[in-house]
Amino acid sequence: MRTDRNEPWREELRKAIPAKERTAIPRVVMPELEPKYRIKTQMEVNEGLSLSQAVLEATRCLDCPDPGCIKGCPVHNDIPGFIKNIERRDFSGAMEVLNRTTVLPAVCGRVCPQEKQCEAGCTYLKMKKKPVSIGALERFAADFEREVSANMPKAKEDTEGREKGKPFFPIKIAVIGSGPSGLTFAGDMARRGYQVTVFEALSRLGGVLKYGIPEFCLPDAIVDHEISKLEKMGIEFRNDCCIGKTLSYDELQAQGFQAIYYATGAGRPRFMGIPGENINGVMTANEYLMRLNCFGPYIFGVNGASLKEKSVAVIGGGNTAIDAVRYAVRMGAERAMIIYRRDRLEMPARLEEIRHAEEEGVEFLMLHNPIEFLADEKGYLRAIKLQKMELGEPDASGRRKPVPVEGDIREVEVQLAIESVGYLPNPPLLPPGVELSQWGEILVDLESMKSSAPSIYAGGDIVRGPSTVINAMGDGRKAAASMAAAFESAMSNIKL
Amino acid sequence: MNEIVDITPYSAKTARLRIYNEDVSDKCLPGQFVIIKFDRNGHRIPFSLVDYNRENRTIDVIIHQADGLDSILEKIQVGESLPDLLGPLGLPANIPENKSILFFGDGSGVVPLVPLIHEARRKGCDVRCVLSEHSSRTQCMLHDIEQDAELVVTVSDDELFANAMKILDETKIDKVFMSGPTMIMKRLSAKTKQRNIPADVLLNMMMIDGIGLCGICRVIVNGERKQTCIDGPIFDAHLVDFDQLFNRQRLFI
Repeated sequence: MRTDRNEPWREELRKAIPAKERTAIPRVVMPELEPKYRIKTQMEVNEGLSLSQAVLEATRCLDCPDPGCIKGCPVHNDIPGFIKNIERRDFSGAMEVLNRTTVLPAVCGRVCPQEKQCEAGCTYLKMKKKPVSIGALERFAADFEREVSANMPKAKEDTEGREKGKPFFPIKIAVIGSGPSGLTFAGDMARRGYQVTVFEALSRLGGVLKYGIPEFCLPDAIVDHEISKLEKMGIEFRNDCCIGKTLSYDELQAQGFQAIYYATGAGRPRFMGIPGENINGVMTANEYLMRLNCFGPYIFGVNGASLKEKSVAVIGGGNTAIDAVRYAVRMGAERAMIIYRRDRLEMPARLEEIRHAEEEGVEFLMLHNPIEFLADEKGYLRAIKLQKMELGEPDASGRRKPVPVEGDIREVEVQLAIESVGYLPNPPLLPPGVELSQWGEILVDLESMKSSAPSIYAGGDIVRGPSTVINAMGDGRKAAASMAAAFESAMSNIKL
Repeated sequence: MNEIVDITPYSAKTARLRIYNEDVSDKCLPGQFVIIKFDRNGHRIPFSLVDYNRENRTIDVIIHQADGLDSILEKIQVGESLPDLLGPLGLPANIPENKSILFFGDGSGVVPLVPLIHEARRKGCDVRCVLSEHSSRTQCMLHDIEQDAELVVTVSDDELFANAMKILDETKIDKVFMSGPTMIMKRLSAKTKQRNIPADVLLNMMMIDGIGLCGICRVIVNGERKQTCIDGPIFDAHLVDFDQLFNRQRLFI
């Protein structure tokens, strides 16, 4: 669904400023908190664009006839459509465009790896210039609506195309998991008029957005706002309800649910399986981040996770590893480092986060692979034994495979080691008939996101393995479209 | 949902909480647990289910102040609703029918044994208990157990082990369930292994989510990494690596 590029206002806007002038504008720089200050707080590092910055950045967009950015976006946001609305200062218009394809614009604007998706398709790259800052603009549109428009008197009620909160099909759909994939699916189905209930096993809604991503990258209040918008659409949320434990699938059926979207994610930590992993002082990034994101450093007042005067090593090169090491800095670590077995350039984390970590004083120990955790005489972590690596031939992922340098082994003294070496699908609690891969991912038909069991669809990390928020959202959107099509075709075949 | 129906104080520091929860009371089985948050931004704390009533749709848990639950007993009141309660979690106990079973519990380890003892009696088992009691914290449970058990021995810590051994020596025991301090469990487990008596241990671990995501409750069983929350909380005692468990638990004492 795209806005029409040929609408008169778009044409006028394009003509108003010559392309040459547009391309001469330098890419906007997102204002951010000073590193020295921000490491003492939980405050969000990126401050967002000002109104004039956003309009100027939107002016850079050339409104191409065949925009590569949309193709790079897993939910196919109409990127030029919302950006041109920002340029003409119709900010609620920009949100209207975004609302058609995404339920989490404030989240995506913050945590998507834009450099690998939308911005990677921007025409500016062909001119050897920096791409339009699409993520910053998406964030601006969502933040502006939340902080400014929401407080203004409304001329008309926004109805989202139907009467608020009232489904017009009495068809009940259950969504399992309230992460980005479940929320997107729920939003898309509710918008089509289905009656949607989202079940969440934990107490807070949002899944990885709450339990995984720290406050300084994505404030909880932003996630809560997006969820409250879904509640206004009539979606019901039920927390503390683990389907398969608290409620059985038979009960869901008895309660009249006719189809299920299963989006429980991949949040079960992978362990390296090296000696010493159970020594006190070695934990998973999940444990570390869940504790800090939800309860602060303590577990019932014992075992404080304060890191003053301690050295902390986070093992891994993904976004979670970077989140954990930056949190360690904020907890007062004397020394915080990333240990990664490949090279810096091959770290899968977002570039911006790596830069932020560096500014905050994080050390990067590249091409080192932990082979053992060493305990002191009391059984607490003392050091990690590291094997030096070098890059060999490219492997299946296309990256050069790290191979050990024979005999080059060193120790680095740390008091806390955090493993962030990947995730496995969450322990599934599934009805019979759902086929799984050997790793525990749900096997689905990738066109329809339908599993091997009747009426059960699945998407997000439980299908694809650890991936990004936006890919999970893309799956939710695809599953909603195919489930709705299936219901509609069934209904059109009913003869009275 | 999650309304506190009744609070039975057993001592200044210990109380039994009866909570209304339709789903959990409907499905829980002996050996399972729930995770409770007493305030919205509070910790997630695992509690063994000591009893349940499917008709009245209630579950019972025992809370004791020394577990870091400092002021909770003073704060909660009958009629209030707990903000969060998730369950039933973990796998139920595997209790055989018409066998002779020894339950061995020390200190707060007695609490999670209670529903298993009742269940064993329901299944026609010959039940023997060796339980220690050196504070007021579990005294309250003994009356409950007495009605179901053939023999309740309440002893000091020193006599505890000797009493268990005496029963193992004198009686034919088909299975042992144990719960208590790790090092005592280790000792008893070794003795049952020597005698070829199957033994299960109930582990009491710190947890965060309770659904297998954080890894804090990991334990080595038969050389494999298991999670107490989803694979336990009951394991074959002969396969548990107690030394590693002991080291990890020190972190939280």
